[in-house]
Amino acid sequence: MKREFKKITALLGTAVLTLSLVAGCAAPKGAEQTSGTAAKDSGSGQEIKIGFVAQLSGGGALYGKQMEQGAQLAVDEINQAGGINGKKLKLLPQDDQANPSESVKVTQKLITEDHIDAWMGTLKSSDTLTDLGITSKQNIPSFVPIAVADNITNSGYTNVFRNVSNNSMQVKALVDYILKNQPHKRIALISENTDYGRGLADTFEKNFTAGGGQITNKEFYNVGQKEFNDQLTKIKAQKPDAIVIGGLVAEGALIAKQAQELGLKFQLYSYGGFMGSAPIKLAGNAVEGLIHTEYFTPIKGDKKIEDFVNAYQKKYGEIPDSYYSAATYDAVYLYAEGLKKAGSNDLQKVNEALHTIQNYQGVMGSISFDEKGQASTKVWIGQIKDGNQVVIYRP
Amino acid sequence: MAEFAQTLVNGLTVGTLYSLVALGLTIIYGVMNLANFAQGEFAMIGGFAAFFLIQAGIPYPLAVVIAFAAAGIIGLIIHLLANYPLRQSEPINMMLSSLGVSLFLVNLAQYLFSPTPQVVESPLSGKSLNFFGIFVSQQRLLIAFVSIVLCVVTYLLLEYTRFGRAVRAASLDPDTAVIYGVPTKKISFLTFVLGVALTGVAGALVAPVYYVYPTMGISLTLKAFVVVVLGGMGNVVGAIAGGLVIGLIESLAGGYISTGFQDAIVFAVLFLVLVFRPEGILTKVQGEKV
Repeated sequence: MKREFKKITALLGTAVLTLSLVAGCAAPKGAEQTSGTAAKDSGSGQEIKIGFVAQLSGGGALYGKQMEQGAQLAVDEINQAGGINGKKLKLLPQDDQANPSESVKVTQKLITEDHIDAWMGTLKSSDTLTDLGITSKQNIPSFVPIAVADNITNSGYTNVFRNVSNNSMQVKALVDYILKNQPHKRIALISENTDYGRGLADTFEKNFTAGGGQITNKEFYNVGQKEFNDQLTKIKAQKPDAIVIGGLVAEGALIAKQAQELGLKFQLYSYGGFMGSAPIKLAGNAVEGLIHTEYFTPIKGDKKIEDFVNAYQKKYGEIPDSYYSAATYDAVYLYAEGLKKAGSNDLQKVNEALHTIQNYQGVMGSISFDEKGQASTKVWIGQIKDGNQVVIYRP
Repeated sequence: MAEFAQTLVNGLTVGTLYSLVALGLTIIYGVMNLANFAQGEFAMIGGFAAFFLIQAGIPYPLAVVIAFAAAGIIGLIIHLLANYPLRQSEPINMMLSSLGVSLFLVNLAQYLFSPTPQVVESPLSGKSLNFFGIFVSQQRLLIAFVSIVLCVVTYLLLEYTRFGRAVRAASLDPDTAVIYGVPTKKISFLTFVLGVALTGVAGALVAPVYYVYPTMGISLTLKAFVVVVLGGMGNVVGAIAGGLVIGLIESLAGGYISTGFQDAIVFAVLFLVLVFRPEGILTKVQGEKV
């Protein structure tokens, strides 16, 4: 009996250790795959096809759906105005379930079965990178409106175009803003324990110390973690002027809440994860005053933005409160601009034409692509004030 | 000094929560020989019960009590469907069945409630007490208090009542217990319902501190298993003490070694216990259960 007991205990222990590995990457799974309605006709024909890949079911589906809606709105507007070069645009949405192998599979399908003329995606940098490996072999113009990892445009692809600032640009913008406009000189960093979070922390430290600031702490947490008291207690002991949260809103909101409970009254900063209404819904007054980088907010007083917001609201009955739909909307228009300049949908010609785009005025600002395909967009700075998102700095 | 005290307080408050979940897990193991991998999902059920009850305007304390009942009732259904038919087969079959229950409940919750985290407000949300610079959130104090009370009540129930004696008999030697007239089927059924209902309370208690979402139970199950292995499978006192020990190891490791390696250190402790004392630190060599 006792030996069997030992055996079972050992078995259990092994199972628990194994499961802990699985749980580490247990993203919420979606219910069912709902793949888009891809047309079966092959050949170029009278339509210019844009393959669109993002998570359209499960946890991140909310954001994937916003991406799709923004792109579809631009496609409809362009078609209503007569199309491009005598042809209509067509968006072919595919669900990648935020899963790298699924993402590659649907991208492959879009290329071999649907013969797409352009590709656009995804929500995750890692999935985007593997997909770009495939689209680049065919030299298909590929748009990256959402994913912000630096190496997407540093991989030597000449067919990749990103109309959003990358991570380094985001960090630099935040550092510059703090050094110029805020009194905070000693800052603690708390970041997620991933390439993304560690990259943010290292870039911030490099830029901030170069500008004369001091980093008091560099703490890390795992994605999915719920308990941050230990990190925050260490930070509190160093008495910094401010804390920078290098992560997404799911953990970030809890960090803000627990900081408040531990009596930390430091200014909070963060990045794009704190855009939109989610942080306010999740953390309430704990995120009041938080300052974060921002790509797009439906502000009043800018004609281009107001027109986009009105058209979007009319079509979908909701306000585009973050950059997910604005960025894909801009990306479709940028592609149309490339098609116009090239005068055809020849892949190489369009790629070359896109590289020559200068100061295109999109809803997210002025866009010019450099030789790597990275747009020189400006990062905005937003703040949560009285339970609302406001833009406090727009270069 | 204040930092050290705060670290200890952080560890102990989290530890009481681990104790409560591990307590449910360990009594189920003791009586049914079942390693219940769906334990954390009952915290999720308790959390969602609290969320919907508060939405419906029911006061928080009552919502916690109903969460206990809700987890118990769902536990009863699960027991009849997934455990009872397997009572005669190898223990590993029931363990695998519980893994299936866990996946089923998580997916059902995702289908019914969506994977988006939901906020639960309690009257104590966001408030904390300040003892000479050491901050404790009031909700966490409530969690610690309720956990300790439930642990003590469960311990007394098992030590000093007829039901408790029957549970201990059934767990020590089920065959002899049957001969002496202990209704072991009924006992295992009651133990399972009690064990998961306790975890349901844990879910309703943590809901205002964290959020409520379908996968919230997975990490709790893992931590509870570490605690139970540390304290000795089926050992009630071991589970309660083990919860506090794991909570303290976690916060001290985070505070004085590295927050990036916190989980790695906790699982390294589990590994060492399995190698050097697989029967658990607090279990006597005879292997006393429950």
